[in-house]
Amino acid sequence: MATVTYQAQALGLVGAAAVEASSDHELIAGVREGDEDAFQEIVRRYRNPITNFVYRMLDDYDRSVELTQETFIRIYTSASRYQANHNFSTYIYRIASNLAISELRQRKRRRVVSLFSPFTNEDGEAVEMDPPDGNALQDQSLIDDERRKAVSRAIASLPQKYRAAIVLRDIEEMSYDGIARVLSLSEGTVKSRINRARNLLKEKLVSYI
Amino acid sequence: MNCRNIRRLIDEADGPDSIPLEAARHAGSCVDCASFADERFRLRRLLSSSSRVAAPANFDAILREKLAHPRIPTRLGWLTLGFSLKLAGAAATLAIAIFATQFYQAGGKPTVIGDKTGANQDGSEIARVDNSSLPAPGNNLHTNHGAAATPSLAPASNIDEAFKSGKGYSRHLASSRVRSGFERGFEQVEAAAVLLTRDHLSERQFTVSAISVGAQPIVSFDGDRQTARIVRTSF
Repeated sequence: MATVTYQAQALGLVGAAAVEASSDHELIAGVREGDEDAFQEIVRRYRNPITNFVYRMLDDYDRSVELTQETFIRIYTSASRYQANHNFSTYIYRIASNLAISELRQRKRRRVVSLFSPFTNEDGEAVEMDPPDGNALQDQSLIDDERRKAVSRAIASLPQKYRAAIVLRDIEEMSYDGIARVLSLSEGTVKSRINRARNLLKEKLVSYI
Repeated sequence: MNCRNIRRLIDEADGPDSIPLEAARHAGSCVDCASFADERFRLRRLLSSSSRVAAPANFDAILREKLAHPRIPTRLGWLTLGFSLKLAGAAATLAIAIFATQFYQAGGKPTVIGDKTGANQDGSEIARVDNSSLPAPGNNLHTNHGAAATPSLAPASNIDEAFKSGKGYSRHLASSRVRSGFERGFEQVEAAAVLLTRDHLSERQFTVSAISVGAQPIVSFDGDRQTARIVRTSF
């Protein structure tokens, strides 16, 4: 607890409030010293964003939750090896990204065929067969639901190398620099992949734009 | 700056308000680039406005449970069903490859045995194999003796008599010990190969190729042609 209270003490906070006011680096330092509250705070801060990110990568909620938990387990067990060279968010997204990409590769090896993706593009990736529906939907909730599903399917049908970049940029709203560090790519490559992903998404979501 | 570079700047901008001034001016006068910018920002708004999923309510409890009871990799943790199946497949493939190689080597070329005169030193011919269970093509037998019709499962006493008299057919199952009378004529007989010979082969030397993985050769010896060949493979 001592580690996580540098900033909090300056603000006159104690206990749970002190933990909540601590920076990510202070929290991970607390985890390293066995502070359960610090780890709990990290989980509270990142469980939803990481779950959403992995879900957008996999389009499988249950598996996304499992991989998010695996991400936190790795954070906890390797806290002693963590080096605060970059943002903690970059570190945790990198772990989650690697797990998601590994999962996608395993699925590819297992040749999981989606009923929505029976075809492949020139890169050998599954391509979604999702012809636009020209019928008008009357109920707004149905429209929203349909739009949400269409976005999910469109993202899930992207080639894996584009998917992580576009999700981090346009859904998690991460900077190009941050994405480059998470994916261990150059910033130019990240920009190129995002541009290509947007072009593909534009074709798939033309009726919703 | 051309339209391509302008579109790149638009694409890399964080939002409609953060487009570089130069790109904004160009888009103000270029319909295509203005359309591109509008389309891009509507797409990004659609993506960012799509509902976000959240972790389930019991997320912390499950995580705490996993941390309290971590999965400890066992010593034989690598021995999964998938790995076992792959191992079995590799072993089967290897066995088939070995068998195919040996079968090809054994059956692909006939082995010349003995001298080229067609008779051994005591004048007896090398007999053809007579085995009713063998296929006909490799078995164009001609017999000079009444014992030629002796079936392959002839009693051992008949075989011994035929052997001692120097006539007729002898049957030898190589899985048993090579009899003393044959030891002169046979260099080595591999396990489970079936050799059917007629008369005494005193000076003839030959080797039967061994196939030890799931198959045994049944060989036919042609005294007239001075060759031996595999007529069948028994599993």
